[in-house]
Amino acid sequence: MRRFLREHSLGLFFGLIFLLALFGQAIAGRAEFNNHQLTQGLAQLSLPSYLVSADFVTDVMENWQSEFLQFLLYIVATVWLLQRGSPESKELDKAGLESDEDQKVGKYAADDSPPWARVGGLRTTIYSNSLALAMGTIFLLSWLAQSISGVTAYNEDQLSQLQAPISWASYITSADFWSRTLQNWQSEFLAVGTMAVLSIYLRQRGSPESKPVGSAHDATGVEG
Amino acid sequence: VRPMFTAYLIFIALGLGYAIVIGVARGLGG
Repeated sequence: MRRFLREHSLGLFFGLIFLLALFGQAIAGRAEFNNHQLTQGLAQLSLPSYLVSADFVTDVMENWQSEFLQFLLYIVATVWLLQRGSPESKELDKAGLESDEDQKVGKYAADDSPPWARVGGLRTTIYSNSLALAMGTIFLLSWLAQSISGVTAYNEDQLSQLQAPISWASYITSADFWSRTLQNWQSEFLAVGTMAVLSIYLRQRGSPESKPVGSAHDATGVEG
Repeated sequence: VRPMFTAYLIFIALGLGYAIVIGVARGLGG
């Protein structure tokens, strides 16, 4: 048990703080929602009712989609794009998909390589892109979920103000949808770019996200 | 190694499934 906790502490820690933050969002989100309801003279929602409301689901999904988009872009962009001096970048002569030998696929697979790395054909192609495929699928599904619950939340608001509801097709071109979407994207893109660039000169001793403290500023693709 | 991988995938699938079901059900007049 102790060994399991130690070997999985990173995944467990983030899983735990995710659940705590989601719980906190539900409590605070409900309070804010009910304040708004009060000013409109509408009914208050219990916590269970708020948890199945379109408002809560939209707030959760708009953040999910942007996080998974961020990682999808980072995974794919760093195949081709470089940043001199950054531990987040590959070495400057390694841009691109690299050779089968470098990537240990097909006949270059090692004894302990995953079977789909060795087998070749479609399965190796799929497996070679499986991380981006997974992050991309989660991004698209959470963005879809944001739009579906978003139009419902938007229409509930419209009806409470005696305004006409709109269709999903209208909603995905609406100011509300793109305002929610882009306000999340801009912060993710800034944070990722900042991480790639600040790590040229700044260090965190012991972190694999940083270069070793004593690494030269123009050392690229070195992780601590 | 595999339990954590599976747990994360299940969690995310449940979250996405929940969100889509709630969104669709509410949208259909729930």
